[in-house]
Amino acid sequence: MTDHPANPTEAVTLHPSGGRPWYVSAILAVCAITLVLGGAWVFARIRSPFPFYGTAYDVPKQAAAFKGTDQDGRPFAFTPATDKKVTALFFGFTHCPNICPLSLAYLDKVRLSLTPAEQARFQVVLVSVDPARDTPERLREYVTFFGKAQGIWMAESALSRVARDYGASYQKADIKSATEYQINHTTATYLIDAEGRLRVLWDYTQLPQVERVTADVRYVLGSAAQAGQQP
Amino acid sequence: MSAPIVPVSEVAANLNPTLADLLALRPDPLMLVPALIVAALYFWRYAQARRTPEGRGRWPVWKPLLFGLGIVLLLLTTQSRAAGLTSGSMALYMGRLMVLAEVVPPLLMLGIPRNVNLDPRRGLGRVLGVLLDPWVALGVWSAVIIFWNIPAGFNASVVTNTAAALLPALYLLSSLMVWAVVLRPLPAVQPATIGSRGWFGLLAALPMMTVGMVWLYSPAVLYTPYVNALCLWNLTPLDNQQFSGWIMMLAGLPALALAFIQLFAWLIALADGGTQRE
Repeated sequence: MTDHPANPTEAVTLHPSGGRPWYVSAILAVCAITLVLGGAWVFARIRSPFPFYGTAYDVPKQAAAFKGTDQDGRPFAFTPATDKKVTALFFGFTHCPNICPLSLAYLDKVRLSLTPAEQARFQVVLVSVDPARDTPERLREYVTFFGKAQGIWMAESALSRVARDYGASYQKADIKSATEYQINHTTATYLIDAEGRLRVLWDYTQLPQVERVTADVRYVLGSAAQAGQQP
Repeated sequence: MSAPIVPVSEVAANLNPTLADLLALRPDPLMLVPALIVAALYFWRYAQARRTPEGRGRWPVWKPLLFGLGIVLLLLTTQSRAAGLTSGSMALYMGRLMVLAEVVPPLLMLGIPRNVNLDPRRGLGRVLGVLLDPWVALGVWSAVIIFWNIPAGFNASVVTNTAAALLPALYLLSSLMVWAVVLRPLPAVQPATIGSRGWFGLLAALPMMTVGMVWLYSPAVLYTPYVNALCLWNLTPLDNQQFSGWIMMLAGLPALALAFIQLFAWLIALADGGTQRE
């Protein structure tokens, strides 16, 4: 661009017909739209070479470790990377009317769609955001009803720290009494690879696409296996 | 709308951020570096132009003031902590996008000096002649609005993985194209008449106003990542969606009003038998 003064009327005379023919403009518009959408696709692929169905973390970050009590009343320690399992982790509660049951049910479908060898390296973990009502016994009934998952209880103080570490939030709602209330909570499921890194998250509304979620899990299982083979 | 579903720990940490919290510095090099380069180039050329009376005539003081204000708003919108809180507030997210689409671009366009001499057949003039073609600008703007606001039929992976990082830049750039067509700061490469610009402005406002209206009057939360989200300032997701509708419609009104003014000016010119061409 030059900023020398120019006579605007002279400039306008360069386009006495009012510009290029409309069909040329239309073709250029189609090309521009293709470039924008194609560019977005390329941008997404650069951020994540595998076309994850979920939202991929730009730079996989280490998942936080935590301790609690599992559905059998035993101490549970989630120490990412030590057991070499891929983990689908989400925060929920057993009185949840819709999101948590759906999440557990679809995650179990995902698990069942894996091969036995893959299933052995994949686990689903539900961290309860309702320590007041979700006893380990209740968690056991709940998670076993929907298939195979770990239900983890922890005290409120530890829970708030873990939730913050994962960027999840929760808050009581529709409080009718000390024992009658709902909890609004983050509806994401976090996929943690065998090296303990957060790789992808799905919103619960994405989980019904079981095949696509399974493809994400398989990729993370596969890439983790490849990473493990590297010297 | 493509909600950035990554729940950010900042949201969980503070559900009632103050204005100071929202405006706290949070650098994003993807936008910061280009914005600073453009601002530095602009003010360098401005300083050069001010040395001659002719340059001062072409570049009055109010132009760099508006341009500077546009850059400041751009930086506030993209380099502040508000950018990391969008998963907790659809209204905040939409407010940021609307500042980028409907406030910053006209300010930047009005800051362009008068009578910039460009050859429409060569180099930058030729490129700008294509980018500022009303068909191209309208196509790109509509694609951005439609693709990222009605994601159901499109590739959710691309949409969700680009929403937070790429969409603010796309809103800014496509809206710069739209506002450049409407305000016509580079007549050397923009042959459009005031009537065609008015029609263009009207058409360009429609996708956004339609989306805004749907949000405003929808009885249910339309974007699933927000359905059960914890929202900032104790708002419900539906409140957020309706606020977003208001924000989008109000933000689009100035452009719509300008389009009507241009159309009326064109009609008056027609009524005058073409004796009062712009």
